Amino acid sequence: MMPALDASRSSLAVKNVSVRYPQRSTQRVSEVPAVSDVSFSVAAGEFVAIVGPSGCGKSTLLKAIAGLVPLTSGSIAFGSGLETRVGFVFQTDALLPWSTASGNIELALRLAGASAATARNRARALLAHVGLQNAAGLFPGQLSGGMRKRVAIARALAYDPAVFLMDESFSALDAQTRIHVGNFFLSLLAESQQTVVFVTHDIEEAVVLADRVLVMSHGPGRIECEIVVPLPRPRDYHASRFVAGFDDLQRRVWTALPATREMEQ
Amino acid sequence: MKRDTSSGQGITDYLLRLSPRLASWMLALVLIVIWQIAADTVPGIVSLASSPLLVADRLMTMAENGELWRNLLPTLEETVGGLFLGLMVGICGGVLMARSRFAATVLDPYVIGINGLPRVALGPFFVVWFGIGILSKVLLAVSIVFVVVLFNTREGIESIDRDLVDALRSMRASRWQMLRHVVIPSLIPWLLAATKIGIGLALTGAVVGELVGASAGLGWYITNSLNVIDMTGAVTALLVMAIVAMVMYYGVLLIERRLLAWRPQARM
Repeated sequence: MMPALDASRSSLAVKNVSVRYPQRSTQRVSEVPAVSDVSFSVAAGEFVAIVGPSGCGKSTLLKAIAGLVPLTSGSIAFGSGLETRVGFVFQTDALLPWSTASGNIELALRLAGASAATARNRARALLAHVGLQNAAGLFPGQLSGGMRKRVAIARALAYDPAVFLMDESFSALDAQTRIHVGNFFLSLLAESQQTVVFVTHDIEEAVVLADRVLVMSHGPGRIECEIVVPLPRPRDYHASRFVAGFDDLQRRVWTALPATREMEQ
Repeated sequence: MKRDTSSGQGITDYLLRLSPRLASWMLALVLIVIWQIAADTVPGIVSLASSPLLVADRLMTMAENGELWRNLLPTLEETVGGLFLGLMVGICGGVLMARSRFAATVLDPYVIGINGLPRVALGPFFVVWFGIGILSKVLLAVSIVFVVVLFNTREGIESIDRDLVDALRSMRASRWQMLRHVVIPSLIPWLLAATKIGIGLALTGAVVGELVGASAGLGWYITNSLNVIDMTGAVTALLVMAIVAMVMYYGVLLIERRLLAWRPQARM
């Protein structure tokens, strides 16, 4: 039912990546640096969180990994070198509103080359896996925020991507739903051993989810430091915040974060 | 909880609650009855506004002797043709201007100029240039319709959800797949809205063209009737126009119900 675990599952290597955005002013086109010389790698099955002040380019970095933003320099390699498909989970659910829950997942599979029949069967299985077997024929507008997020996660999971890229994926949910979806996601990961890069501005969320937290500087973003999170698994999106050592890790991430702009001025 | 609708509330209130659609029909009935009574009692009304019975009688006669179809058909062709071509021109122009900054900058003043121009004033020109046949009316309708479609298309393209585009790009969708799964479905509500407005505009273009110069059509029938002081004929043609507009509008509404079934507010 679920993607079979691939022993040679790809990890991710980001080497000296810089991204500049063209900015159009009235006079001329100039380039604004967003990400500057970032290098890091992610082992297969590892969960890496990236935190940083707003505007540090962490979302841009994620989009660059997904191939949505062209690199100015540097390289991004996926371990296997073959599967460069990524599963992207956005802050919004980013589901096609005119397509049913099943249709959204089927589309991801069809784009990956599956036949219509295969896509339909696999979409059913995936929806059952995320506990939404009864929602297959419903449109996103008929689902709750938490259900939509689960469909979005199922969609990203659909074609067994090289890496899961998550951009503030839970931040638009209300506190209670966030805990439910967060725990659901953690249990899903425990099964699938998926490699994840998770961008967030929420320090606690980063610590509670990740094996490693990368802290970025002000834009143009660089990696300031990395903090390894040795908390035991399985974790709980909420309860793990109260285990020994969590406070200390959280404090270390907070201290590593550059001061906010307001305080500098 | 059930509410007792009959107690202490007027009969109209009860009927309104029963069915707004029924109330709508009843309003039409009331207006027709008032019109008929006025025509029967107030001297001179018949020569100014005819009467429902006279109009109904004329409608039957016209349907029997073929006059109705002879005049309805050209107007229908002009309206539908103008609407269709107006949609085509507007969509192409809107896509072009949304996709190319160059095209938008070059064409913007012209679109704004055409939009501000009372295009019914083009009617006489079009009849001189393109003759008294169907072509001049279709083009007049197009000139009125396309601007609305163009504006809506541009706005629709600009309001496409960036996250949906990114989501499909992250799944490595081709340009065609992006068009099919994101761009076109995003534009459909905007184009349906433009079409609903466009029906009335296309009919205006067609009829104004006919008023200026034609040899058939509902507009022509009005001018012709008024020339011989046949008020009943003119009013009948007007009524047929209203029916045409309503039928087309409800047709679009039916399509909309199907296409926008995913929208919570469209599912009623």
